[in-house]
Amino acid sequence: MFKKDLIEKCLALYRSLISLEEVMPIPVDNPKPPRIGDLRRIQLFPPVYVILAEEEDFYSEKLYKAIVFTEDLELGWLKETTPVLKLDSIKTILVGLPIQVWLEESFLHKFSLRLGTLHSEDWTKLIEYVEHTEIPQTLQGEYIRLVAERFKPYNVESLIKHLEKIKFYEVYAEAEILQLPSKVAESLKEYEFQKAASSKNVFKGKNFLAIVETHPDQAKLILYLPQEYIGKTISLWLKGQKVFEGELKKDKIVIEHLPKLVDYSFLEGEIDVQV
Amino acid sequence: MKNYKPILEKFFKNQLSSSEFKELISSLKKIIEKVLSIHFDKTVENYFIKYLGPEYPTDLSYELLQRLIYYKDYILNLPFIQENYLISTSLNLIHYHLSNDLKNIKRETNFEDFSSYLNKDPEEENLKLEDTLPSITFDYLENLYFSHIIELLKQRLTPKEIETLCWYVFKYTHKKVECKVNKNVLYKRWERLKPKLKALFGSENFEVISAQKLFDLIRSELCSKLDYNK
Repeated sequence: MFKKDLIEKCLALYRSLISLEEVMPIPVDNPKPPRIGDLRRIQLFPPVYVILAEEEDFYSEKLYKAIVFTEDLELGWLKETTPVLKLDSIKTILVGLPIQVWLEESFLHKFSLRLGTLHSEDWTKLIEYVEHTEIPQTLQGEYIRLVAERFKPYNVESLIKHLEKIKFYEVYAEAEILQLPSKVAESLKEYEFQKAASSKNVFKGKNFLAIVETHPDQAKLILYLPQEYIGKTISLWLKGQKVFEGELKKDKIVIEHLPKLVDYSFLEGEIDVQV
Repeated sequence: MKNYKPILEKFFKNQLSSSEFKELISSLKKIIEKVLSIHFDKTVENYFIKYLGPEYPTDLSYELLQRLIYYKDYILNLPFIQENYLISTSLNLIHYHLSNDLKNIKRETNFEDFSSYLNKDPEEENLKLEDTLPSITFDYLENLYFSHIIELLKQRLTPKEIETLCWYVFKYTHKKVECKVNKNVLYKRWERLKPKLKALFGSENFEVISAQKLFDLIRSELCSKLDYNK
């Protein structure tokens, strides 16, 4: 009745597939624009599936909160409430994983194939599953983290509202912490009462994504840089002043003790990362 | 490592001779048989035989080929198709059919039938989450999960923790347990063990631990050498 630890075998099988050099996402032939409720196959190898559960405007395009699904039932099924989808047209069965990622509209449009639309009544069920299911410390948990890691280059993680969840993913956990030099902090005070017409706390630069987190006592600027910058010497400038120069050790930098301001929209044109 | 891309590419372009087609089906059948023997037991085999007859691996290899057609644009863009990818796809295909009570299997498919599929794109579907899985799939997944848990418990719990877990399980299933260790000590140990179990399984999964099936398995796999009053 019980086959001895097949989950280990299934994980080994999955590892053997992803151990080959990661294939760049394959563009789809007839791209269709993403919309809420879509089930889409991300054209990675092996493929990963997502349901688009929420949509947010970001900069000049849309971002989608995507709940991840997989073909690997043995590794993804955790309990009776694990979401299951059957696709009769392609004879495939999928299970939901307790992870979500934020993906850009352009990425989804170009590299994912729309397979169907999930009934709106089920969207909240999915979000509830993700929010109330912890990733276990089993091989299944290891698998789920591996899948999350594969999304890393495409996940607009700075916009994830559920950063607490990310703490479980070792890949995202570490950041380089910097203190904002007092001279720079001082110079930002001129913006103390300035408020833009359309307030923003998330910015996208040519080589970074940034988010301002406000806390009762301070604000923090979190920068996400391309992974390939790790090991290179970078300089980080804020309002024309150097905040950091040196070898980048992690692709996430947290600058602490930003002065408390009403609005941080001015940062949009004031952050510069040079390599 | 065999690369299946050349033969599949030829098939997708409708350029296979009938002997090459037979060769392809035969390779896929071997993969299906491998998946069945590694992952499934007699219950599943008997289920397939009951509904499809003894030649069911051939039916499934045709099904696999049909599914690969649905993925053809994707497959044609891959640099290499290794057997493990086909194994993984077959496994999902078998799960799909099991969860669908084998209702969606096409029988007696021949080379000509496949040519007609080649230019069809799968239709977009209106989807709903499944309320339940059929018992054959549910039992399979649950058994896998439980046997993995047992392995983890063997690896990660100390002998004292196993003793405590067994005491808890016997207490839960038999209501009354006789144990040489003082009851208060066991309660304290159990309180210390709970967070470890929760971390291992994820707190939301903890309710699964109370399942009778898992408790029976813990008793037989972990507690058989312990001196508990049954």
